[in-house]
Amino acid sequence: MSELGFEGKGPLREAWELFLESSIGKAGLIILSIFALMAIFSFVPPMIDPMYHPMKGVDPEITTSQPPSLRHWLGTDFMGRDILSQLLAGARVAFLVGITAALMSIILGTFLGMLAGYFGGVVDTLLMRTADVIMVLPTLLVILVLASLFKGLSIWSIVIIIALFRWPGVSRVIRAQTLSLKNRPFVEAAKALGASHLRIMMRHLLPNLVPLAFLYMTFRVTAAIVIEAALAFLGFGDPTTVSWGMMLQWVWKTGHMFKAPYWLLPPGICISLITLSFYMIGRAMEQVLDPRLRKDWEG
Amino acid sequence: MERPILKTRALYKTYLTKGGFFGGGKKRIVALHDLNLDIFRGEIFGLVGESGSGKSTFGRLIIRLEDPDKGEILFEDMDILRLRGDRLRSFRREVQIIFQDPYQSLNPYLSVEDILKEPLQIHKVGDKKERMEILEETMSMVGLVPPSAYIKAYTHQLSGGQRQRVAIARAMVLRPRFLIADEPTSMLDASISAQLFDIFLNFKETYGVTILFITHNLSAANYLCDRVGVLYKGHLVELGRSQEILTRPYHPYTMALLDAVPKFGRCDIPTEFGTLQRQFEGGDESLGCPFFKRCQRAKMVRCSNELPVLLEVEPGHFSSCFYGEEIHKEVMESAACRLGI
Amino acid sequence: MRLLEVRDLALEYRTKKGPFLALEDIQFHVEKGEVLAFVGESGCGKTTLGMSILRLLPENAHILRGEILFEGRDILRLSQEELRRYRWKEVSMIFQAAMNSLNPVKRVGDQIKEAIQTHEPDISKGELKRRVEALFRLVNLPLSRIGDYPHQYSGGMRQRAVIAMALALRPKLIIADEATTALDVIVQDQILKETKLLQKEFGLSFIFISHDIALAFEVADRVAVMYGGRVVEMGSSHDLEDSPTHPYTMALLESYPTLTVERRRLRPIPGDPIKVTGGAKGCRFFMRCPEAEASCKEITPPWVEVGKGHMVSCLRR
Repeated sequence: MSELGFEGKGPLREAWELFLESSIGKAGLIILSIFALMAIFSFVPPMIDPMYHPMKGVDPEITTSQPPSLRHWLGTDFMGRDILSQLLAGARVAFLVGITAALMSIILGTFLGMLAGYFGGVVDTLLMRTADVIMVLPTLLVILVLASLFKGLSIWSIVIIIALFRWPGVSRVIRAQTLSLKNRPFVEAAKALGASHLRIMMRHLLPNLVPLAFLYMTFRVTAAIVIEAALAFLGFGDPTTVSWGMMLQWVWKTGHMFKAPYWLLPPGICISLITLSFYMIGRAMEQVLDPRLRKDWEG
Repeated sequence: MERPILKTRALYKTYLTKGGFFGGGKKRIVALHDLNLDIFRGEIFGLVGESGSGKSTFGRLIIRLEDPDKGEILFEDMDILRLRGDRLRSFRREVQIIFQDPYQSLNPYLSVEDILKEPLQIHKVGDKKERMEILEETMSMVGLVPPSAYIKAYTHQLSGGQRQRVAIARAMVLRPRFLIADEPTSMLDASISAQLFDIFLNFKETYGVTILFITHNLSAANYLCDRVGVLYKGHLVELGRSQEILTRPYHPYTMALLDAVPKFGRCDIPTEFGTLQRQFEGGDESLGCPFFKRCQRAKMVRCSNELPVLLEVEPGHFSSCFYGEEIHKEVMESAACRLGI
Repeated sequence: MRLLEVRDLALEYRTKKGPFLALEDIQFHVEKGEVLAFVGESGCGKTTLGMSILRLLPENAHILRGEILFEGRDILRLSQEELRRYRWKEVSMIFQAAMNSLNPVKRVGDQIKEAIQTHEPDISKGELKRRVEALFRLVNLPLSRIGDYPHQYSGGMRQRAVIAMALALRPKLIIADEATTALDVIVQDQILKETKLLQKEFGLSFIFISHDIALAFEVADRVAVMYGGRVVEMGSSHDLEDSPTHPYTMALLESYPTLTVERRRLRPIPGDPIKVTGGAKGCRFFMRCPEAEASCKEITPPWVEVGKGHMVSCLRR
C-alpha cells in the first residue's frame, strides 16, 4: 500500500500482467498478431493490381502452376492465381470463422451453462440433456450431410452450424463452475442483501466465469478453424471464398500434391501455426487461472 | 432490553448426506432439533458449539438462506418464513450476515466501492452523493480509515483483517437492526480479532444493533456476549448469562467444553469438571440425550432412552440435563473445597 | 549435546516482486524431552522456520546464512540420502491440513505399515503388526478401526492417525505446525493431552508452531514469540505469561480474550503485521509499537537477558 492508498487494479488486469510474464503466452500472442497482420494485408493485393485478387485475379501470362518468382512471391496455382494473396485472404477467413464461431458458441455455452447451474432442477435437466444429445452427434458428419443437402454452404452458415454444435462442451464446464460458485459466501451475501437472480448472475457469477469461458474460447477457435479447413478440403466449403482448407483442396484436386510444395506447404503451415498460437495462449491462460500452476511463492 | 427482537419456536432442520454409489448409506443428520430461543433487543448473544453442532445452520435459517423443516422464526413478532417479494426485501434490510472466511465472502471482481455500494443500489437508498457519504461513514465505523485509501482497492490487495472489515461494512451499510456474525474472527490473527471485537461492541453500544455471535471459541464468547447458548448436535443444552455459564455450568457438555479450553492468563473457571468420557466409540444416535455416549455422568436407562428438555435451573439460566442440578452441586462443592472457601 | 540447535539463521524468498526476508537472526535450541512453541501472527515466518528445520523449503527460498545442528550435524550439509533418513527417523512434521494427506484409497493401518517398511525393510510381519497396534493404542484410536479407510474416520481420528504416522519411526523431534487448529476444542484438548503423555514417556521433543497463544502457553515448556521474521522474546512459558517484556508480547497477550468474569477491555494492536523486504535495520515492531522512539527505527535491538533464560530483543528494556 502506498501512502495514498490502493490503486484500483482489478483482478483482470492483474491476470493480464501475469499472462504477459509467461513466455509461451507471449510467443502465442506474437504468432497470432502476425496472422492478424496477414488478415489486414489481405485487403491490399487487389488494390495494387486486380491481377492479385485471390479468387478472380488470374495472371494472363501464366496458365499452369508456377514456383515462386519476383512477380508472385509464393508462386501461382494451376490457373495462375497468386498464392500469397490467397494465403492472406485465408487468414481473414480463418479469423472470421474461428473467432466468430468460437465467440458464438462460448456465449451460448456460458449463458446456458450458467442458467442450468444456477437454477438447477428442471432447467438444468432440460438444458443438459439437450447438450448431451448435441454432444454425441458427430459435428463434421452432420455438417457434411447438411452441406450435401443444401448443395454447399455459405461461410456464415458454416460459422453458425459450428457454433450451434460446439456449445455443449463449454456449457458443461461453466455449469460445474457455477455450481461451485453459487454456494460461495459472496453469492450468499448478495442473496442475504436481497439481490435479484438477474443481479446475482450478471454481477457476481458472470465475471467469475468469464476467464474460464475465455480459456475455452481459445480451444474452440482452433476447433472451428480445423473444422472449416476439413470441410473445405472435402469440397464442402463456401466456393466464393478462399480459405486455407480450400487451397489445400485445390492442390489435391489438381494433382499438385507432391509436385508443388510451394503451394502445398504455406496453407498447411498456417493452419498448424494458428492452431498452435491459440493453444499456446490457452496454456498460458490456464497458468494464470489455476493458482496451483503459478510459480510465484506467496510467503 | 427484555423484549425479544427474535424468537424461534420449535425449529427443526435435518440434512440428508449423499449416499454411496448405489444410493445406499444415506444418513440423516440433525442440524437443529426443537430449538426455542429468544434473542433480546440490543444484546450480543453468543451461540457456542463445535463443528456440526448446527450453529451456522441456525444463522442461515434466520437470514433465510435456507428453510427449516418445521418451526417458526419471528422477527419483531413477524413470521419471516412467510415473507415474499417486497416484504422479504425489506426484511433483508433489517438483518445482515458476516461470514467466516473473508477470502470467500467478497467477490474478487468488484472493488471495495462496488461491494459497499451494492446494498444501497439493491434497496435504492440515497442519491450518488448520499451513497458516498454513507459509504465513508460506514468505512470509518469499521476502521477502514481514511476511506479514500481503501475505496478503490480490490479484495486481493487487502489483508485478511481488512477484507473482514469490508465484509462487516457491507453488512452495516444498510444500518440493519440485527447482525449475524458467523465465526467472523476464527480465521484471523489474535491482534486483528481483538480489533474486530471492539467494532462489534461499538455497534452494540453506539447503534444499538443486536448481534448473534456464532463461535466455537468460549473465550471470545465470554468477552463479547451478554448471554450464551451452548449447542450440541443441534440441541440447545445450556443457556444463560455468559459469566454464569463460565462459573456455574449445569450441563456436563458445557463442563467438558470448559475443561478443554486452554487455561491462559487469569481464568475464572472454578475447577476441572471431568465430565467427558475418555474412550468412546461414535456410533448410532440414541433416543435419549444427544451427549449420552460421551458423558461420564450418564445414567444408563434414563439418559439413553429419554430426551431431556431445557428447564430453568436458576433465574434466566436454562439447562437440559436430568442430573444437571445434582452434578452442578457436587462440582461446585468440590471447587469450593479446592479453593478453600 | 543439545538435540537441535539453530544458529544465526537467515532466509529469504526470491519473488518476482523482489527478495523478501522471511527469517533473520534466528537463534534457539531444543533440549531432549522439551516442548518449544513458536507463536506469532500469520506471515511472521513461523511456518518457514519449521520447514527449514526439515529442509522442506520451496524452490525460491534461499538460506542466506546460519546453521541448523541436529545432534551436532549440520543438516544444511546433508546429502539427499541422509536427508531422507533424517526426515522421518529423526524429525517428523505434522501439518495443519495433515489429516487430508492420508491416501484415500489405502487402509489407514496399511499406510502406517508402509511408512515403517520403507525405512526398515527387514522388519518381520509380526513385529510390524505389533508396532502398528501399539501406535494405535498410543494415540487412542480403537484397534477395531485399523482396517478402515480414511474417509470412514472423523476429522479428529484422521489427525490422530497422522500423529501415529509421524510417530511410526520413533523420531526424536516432532514439528507440529498448527497441527490441531482445524479440530474442535474437545478433540484438540484430548490430542494434546495424549501427546503430552508421549513426550513424557519417550522423551520426545516438540516444536509447536501456532497462532493460538493460549494453546501454545498451555502446551509448551518454553515459548518464542516471533514478529516480522525475527524472534523478539523467548523464555519459559511461565515467565512470558507472568512478566512479558517485549512490547509486542505484551500487546499480544492483552489482545487475547480470557475466561474471566470481570472483563478487562482488550487492547488490540493497531495496524497489520508487516512483511519485510530486504535487510531492513531497526526493530520490526517499530511501526506498531506504543513505546517506539526514533532510535528504534535505526538500531536493530540486541538480545538482553532479563531473567534466567528469558531473552528479549528490545532497545527500551
